[in-house]
Amino acid sequence: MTGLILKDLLILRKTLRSYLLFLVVYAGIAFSGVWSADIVGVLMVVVVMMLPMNVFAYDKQCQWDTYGLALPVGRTKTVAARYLCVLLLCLGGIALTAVTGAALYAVGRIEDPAEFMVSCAVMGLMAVLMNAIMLPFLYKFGPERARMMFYGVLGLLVLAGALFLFPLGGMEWLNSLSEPNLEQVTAIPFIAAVAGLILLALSFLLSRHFYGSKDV
Amino acid sequence: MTNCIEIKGLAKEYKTFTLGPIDLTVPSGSILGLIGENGAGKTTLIKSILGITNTSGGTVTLLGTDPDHAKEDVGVVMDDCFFSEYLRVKDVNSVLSRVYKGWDTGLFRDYLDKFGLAGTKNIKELSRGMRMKLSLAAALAHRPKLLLLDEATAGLDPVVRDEILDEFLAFVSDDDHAILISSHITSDLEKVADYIAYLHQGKLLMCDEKDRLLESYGRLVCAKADLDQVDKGYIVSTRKSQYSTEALIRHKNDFKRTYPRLTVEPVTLDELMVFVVKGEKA
Repeated sequence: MTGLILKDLLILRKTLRSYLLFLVVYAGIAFSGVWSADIVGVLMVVVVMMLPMNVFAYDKQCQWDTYGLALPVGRTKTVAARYLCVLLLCLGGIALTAVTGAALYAVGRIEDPAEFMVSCAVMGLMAVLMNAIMLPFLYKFGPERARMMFYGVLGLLVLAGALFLFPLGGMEWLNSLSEPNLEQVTAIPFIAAVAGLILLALSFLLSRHFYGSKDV
Repeated sequence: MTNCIEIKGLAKEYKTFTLGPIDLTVPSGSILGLIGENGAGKTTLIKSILGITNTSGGTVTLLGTDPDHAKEDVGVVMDDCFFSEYLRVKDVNSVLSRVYKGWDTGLFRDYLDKFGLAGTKNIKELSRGMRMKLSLAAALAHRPKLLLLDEATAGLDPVVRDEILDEFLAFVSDDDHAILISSHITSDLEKVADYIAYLHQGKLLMCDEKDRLLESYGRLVCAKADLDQVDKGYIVSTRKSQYSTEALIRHKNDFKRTYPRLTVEPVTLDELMVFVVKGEKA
């Protein structure tokens, strides 16, 4: 299974380098004070969402699935390897965002580290959530069709969020919420981590089901 | 002699195509060449043997066990290189050494040296021939007992093909090893195969020792009037044109004794296929 995780990371090598460069540029902009430090977290979510799509597209390009299933790994472990790779990418993204946040705090660009930590945890959870939704689509429909469907699902989620917030007063209601206390701030990353793992586990079961019956 | 592959009643149904039911065995120490026109079901058969594709029925035994448990001892080469262009040659070693328990890095490097492949090269820089050599090195480096090859020599120049065929022959020099190879290049199979299986529209039309197959069939070229005199039991199929009449005949040696006046030429696997697909049935 480690071989398959390594394979995914190796084919993403170049892409990761490019995204890392993006991160440096965006962090630089955040350092200069033009944009808020939260931009780094948003970029991380987008990048971690794009990477698995790239892996599926690269695999399809070289028809890896046919070869992959001829290896002594099995379908369940093949899917598990992909999920572990995604989890590693999410953790890597969160770690990079946290390191960038620490650097920004050190130069005084972040005033409230607790708020950034909460933001980092929420962004991490978002990255996991996006992948948890997207991966079963990728297994069921392949990269091209899944991409479009995923954007459709995202659109629906945004619409559902807007419909939920509108009767409550929209952004004004959000801004009126009280700042979390220290206890809540400490709890949020743990809750996010547990929620993320549960989401990924459920998503894995669905993907395993789709891949198990897939005719390659 | 034991069998490396035993297939019984293997079937796979699609909306417009049905493979099988197929019964086939590949004895250890031998090479079985799988021939058939495009769309005959060769790739589907190989994928079904490996359990990659879901089958509608039948059983497959590889190396005395079920395919999932045998994969550690099976090497696979398909008609293209399945390694991403974003990998380097040496990455294949890093990945597969963590996949196969019996992976031998030294052996993989030996094959790379033998095939003139530099480990630092990006796969996208490799020619088709070099990619196939890389696939073969990857298929052999975990010391498999069985090789499943789907059009592994397609698109290669004769020199590279010859080198690869030599590797196949060296591989089956071990009595525990066997190869199933599908190919349109029937001359390659005539060179290395011990058995030939002919798949046509999803059905196995013939499966026999290559020498016996080529020995028992012949190509009769004669006038239409002569052909009309021939016992229909000998004729498999005929091809008639404005200028000549040809027939694929079975029991060639009997036929020669019965009709010494008629000339029967040896038949090639290519001709055998053309007669079966395009000829008129007797």
